Amino acid sequence: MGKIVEIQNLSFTYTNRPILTNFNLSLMSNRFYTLLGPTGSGKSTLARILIGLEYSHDYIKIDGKFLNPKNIEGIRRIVKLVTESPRGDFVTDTVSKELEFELKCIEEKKIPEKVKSLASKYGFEYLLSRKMWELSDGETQIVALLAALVTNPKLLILDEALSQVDRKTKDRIFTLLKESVKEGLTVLQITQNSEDVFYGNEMIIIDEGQVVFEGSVKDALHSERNFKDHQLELPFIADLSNKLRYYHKISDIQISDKKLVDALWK
Amino acid sequence: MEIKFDKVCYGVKGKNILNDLSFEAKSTKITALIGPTGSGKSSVFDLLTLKRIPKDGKISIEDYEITRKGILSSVLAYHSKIAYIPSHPEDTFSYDSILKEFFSVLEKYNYNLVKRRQHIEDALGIVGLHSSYLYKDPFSLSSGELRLISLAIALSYNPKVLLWDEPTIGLDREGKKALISLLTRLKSRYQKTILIASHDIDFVNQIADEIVVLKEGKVLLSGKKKDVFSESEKLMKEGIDLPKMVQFQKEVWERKKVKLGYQSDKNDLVKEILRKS
Repeated sequence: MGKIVEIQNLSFTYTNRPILTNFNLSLMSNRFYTLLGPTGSGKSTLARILIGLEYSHDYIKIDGKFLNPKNIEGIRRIVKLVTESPRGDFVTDTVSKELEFELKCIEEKKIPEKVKSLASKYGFEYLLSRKMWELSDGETQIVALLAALVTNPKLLILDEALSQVDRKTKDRIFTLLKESVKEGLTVLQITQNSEDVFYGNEMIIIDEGQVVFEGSVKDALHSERNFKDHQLELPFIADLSNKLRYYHKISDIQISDKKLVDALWK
Repeated sequence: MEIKFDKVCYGVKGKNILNDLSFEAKSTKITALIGPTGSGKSSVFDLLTLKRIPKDGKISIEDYEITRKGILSSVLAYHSKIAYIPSHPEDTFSYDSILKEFFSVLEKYNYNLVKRRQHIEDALGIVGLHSSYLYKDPFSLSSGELRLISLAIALSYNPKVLLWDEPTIGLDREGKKALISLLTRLKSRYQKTILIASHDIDFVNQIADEIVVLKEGKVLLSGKKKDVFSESEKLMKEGIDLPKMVQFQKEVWERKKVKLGYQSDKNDLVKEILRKS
């Protein structure tokens, strides 16, 4: 237990454009966070800084250790970043080899068993024999996620990582991820899809390089301004609730279909 | 310019991707291809752009025909009638200015310099971007801006057909709104044939006229948006997402036996709820 990420006064510019300004954030372990923000707000830059792909000399601690060029390898052993288009990151020609490669890099034993076990846990054993170039966009995203999970990271950052995966499969994946969260994993999900907030309990909203909301998903949804002021779409059920509350049809925001239906037709 | 797939088969090294695929996309309409990951949506575009050739069957686009023998007419003439925007257009940019990107496309179709400038300005006008974008480095633009630029480049030679793989990737609320009004204008005012593939089922619900549901390279369902989404049991069984509005409608029927008519706009749904509650 404790803080897996601690950022104090982080400022980051990219070719003369300030991306993050006096940015402060702490993430606790064993939690599932969703990070929302309009395009250009600094979400992906934050993810890249946490994995050491962008350099910052500001106060950033990962699992209690300061992030600096000397300990990047150690940091990358416990923090994994999965991005939206991972095709360029693959180094082998089959899915099983790709996953085995991750374990070979950290000199693990019983590699084939661990790969098979993870793939079947998530229901993707059928992908193991596929060639990397045969995979559809959604399948490459799934493989990239498995590659990140196979080494048992402490912090998993998903930057729009499952955008091409259908909801049924996502539901299954996130149910399993939430179990891993109980067992010690921290997930930071960056997404443009507001519906994804329901996978976790905590939310962070950033805009123009600053944190503008930090708290529970429920609290975030109670005021539509948290979203609308920052060009974010509310999840459907919250938006519908707000509109109906405006017509005095209901008195409280409801965040599930069932509850809203019951509130409308008593 | 209509697109017609007639029993098209396509596969790679023994793996069948498209199996007797038959569907149509008409002009002045937006047709959306939906289906689970790996159902063959991107392969449809590969065949339409001649990146790949079908194993069997026929693809007709106005006077052009694509079969396993390829296209027996001018490839250049065919390409000048269609435009394709991939899911990650930023990957296809190779120059350090947007103007050069436009030129590299217009050069292929032999537009003279004066005409080129006119077409570029028109295209930027349609997508609502200022001409100052021409001098920007693609690398410095946000993903939303890159999407609009890709669309402008695609429109610069006046294609009759627009093919777009996952138009909403990386777009926030404002970006999606702008895209919806743009696509609507392109289909009605400019009479284009628009075929998109998308995972964003709520976006599809808002923008599509016709929907083609793919499963394992075959058509599971196709038709008008309203009719396709009314087959909720069939869609759910195949793991295909239902639009949030349709899910809500279903919940209302199952829990309270109240029938809310199909809607594709949230404000219309609100009005319907106010009427029936």
